[in-house]
Amino acid sequence: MSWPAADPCQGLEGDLYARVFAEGARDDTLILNMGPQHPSTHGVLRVLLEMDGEYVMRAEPVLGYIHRMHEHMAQNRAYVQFFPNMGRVDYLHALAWNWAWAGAVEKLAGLEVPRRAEYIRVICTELNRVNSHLLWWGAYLLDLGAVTPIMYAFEDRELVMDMLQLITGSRLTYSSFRFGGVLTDIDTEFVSRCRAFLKRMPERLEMYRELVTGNAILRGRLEGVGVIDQMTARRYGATGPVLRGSGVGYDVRRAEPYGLYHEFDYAVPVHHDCDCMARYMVRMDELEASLSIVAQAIDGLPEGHCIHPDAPRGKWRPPAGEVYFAVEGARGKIGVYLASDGTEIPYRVKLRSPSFSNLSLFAEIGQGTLLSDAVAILGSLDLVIPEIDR
Amino acid sequence: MPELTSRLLLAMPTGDSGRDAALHVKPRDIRLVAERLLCQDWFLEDVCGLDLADGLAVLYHFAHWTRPGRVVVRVMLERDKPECPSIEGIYPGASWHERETCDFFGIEFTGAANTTPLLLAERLDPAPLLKRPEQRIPRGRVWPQGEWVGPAGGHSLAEELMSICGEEGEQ
Repeated sequence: MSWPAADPCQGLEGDLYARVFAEGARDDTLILNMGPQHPSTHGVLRVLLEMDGEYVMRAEPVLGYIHRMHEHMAQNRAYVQFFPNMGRVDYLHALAWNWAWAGAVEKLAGLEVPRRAEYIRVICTELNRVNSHLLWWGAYLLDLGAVTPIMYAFEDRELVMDMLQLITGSRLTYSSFRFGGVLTDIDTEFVSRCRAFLKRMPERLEMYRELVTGNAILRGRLEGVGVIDQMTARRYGATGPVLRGSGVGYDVRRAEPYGLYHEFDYAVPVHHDCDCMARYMVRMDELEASLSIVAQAIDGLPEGHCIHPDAPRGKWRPPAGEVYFAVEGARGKIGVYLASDGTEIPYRVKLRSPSFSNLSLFAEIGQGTLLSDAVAILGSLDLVIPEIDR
Repeated sequence: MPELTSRLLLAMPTGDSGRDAALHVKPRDIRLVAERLLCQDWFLEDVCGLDLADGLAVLYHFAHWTRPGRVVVRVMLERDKPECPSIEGIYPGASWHERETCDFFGIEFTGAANTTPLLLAERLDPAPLLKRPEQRIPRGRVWPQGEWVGPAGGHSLAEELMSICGEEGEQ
């Protein structure tokens, strides 16, 4: 080889994705790999960036680093055996995925759920949502350079995890829902801990507001950054806080009511600025809404069974047919498409994950931003990579 | 006439299956239908492949921010050469869903700008979610058509979508 080499980057073209991405690059730009081990990508997301100085010219997320093929696993096991998988698709809001799976099968087979079980589902799913938003809050501020808030968030999260451990037996990857109810009933200790938590949180949220939300540096980093207009959100199928931060009050709990959510009085927070700050504010408001739902559910908890006495156990055959069931997860609309051929094993299961659609719009809104703003935008989407890769 | 169902004609109670209208279109009509749905502010929930004895099916699930219900658009493809026009020009969010469906079912979406594998490192042959021939079930079992297929009279959206699709005879 002659020196200097005709192409100094010979042998450094990267893998297939980098080569395909580099095809459209200008001569004077830099191709940068962000991830899959970058701390701000929360897991194993890789983003290919074409940089002009500090500015992002093009961005393309590369997925698949934690792909486990849950959809294939579903086709190899009995219906009830799929619950542990649902705890691992989105580890931060596992109970919403539990509900999506339980709800889809209950809808297909026309199973009834006792009122008490519905209330327990609402209580633990909303506590799980609080937990998810608290972790997002801490981790997002960590992305933006504030190290302390995540310590506060984890203090609160520990309390929620202790409570949920009482009734689910796990601290993170819950799989406590069953067809026709939930695995365990809640007891007086859970109720008293829950009431103490509900009493504690308003003060904590007030402190978070004073310490963080009003902070001039935070507002400077987030306001006017990562604007997602409604048309973009629609074309990419964005849902959840990302959509509600763009001024659309779409919440599956209201739009396609499931469970007993219609019995509770709560607000669906909507902010109209379409930027990262709006998405931040939506999640902070949702913390309060979820706590209010939990308080109402604890007060109105009916007596009865936590699972229907005739609920199917073990291997069991639902009728043939297809069904689509959606729930509102912490990140948006969780959908389960289920096709059954009437045997003990599902014929086809499709999991619609909200982060998947929410991340797909990053390629468009990341264009032309500063690299540090791209980090702020990625964080504001509240990504959970195992949910995207499934 | 495209085969079409609507909630008004469902024999089963409405909403039990999680959808309000299911429309079966030819692959060549999928872009027209998607365009019309976008004009009416529907958003794409997901694109789902399904392996049946009659061939490969692609299901597009659409939902709406303000209207209740869900529209399912189904396309049946030949098993030997599964090709379907891409709708990423209309719904850019469909791009990843289509790449995923290509990974798992080997369905080619023609006209897509990026066809690199999304979730798998490389193309697998056979595609991982394809069934063995003896496992496949006929579509009548998943979609019990005998009960509820019929003309979609009275359902305005279904009628509108039906009118933009070509007639059965013209190819």
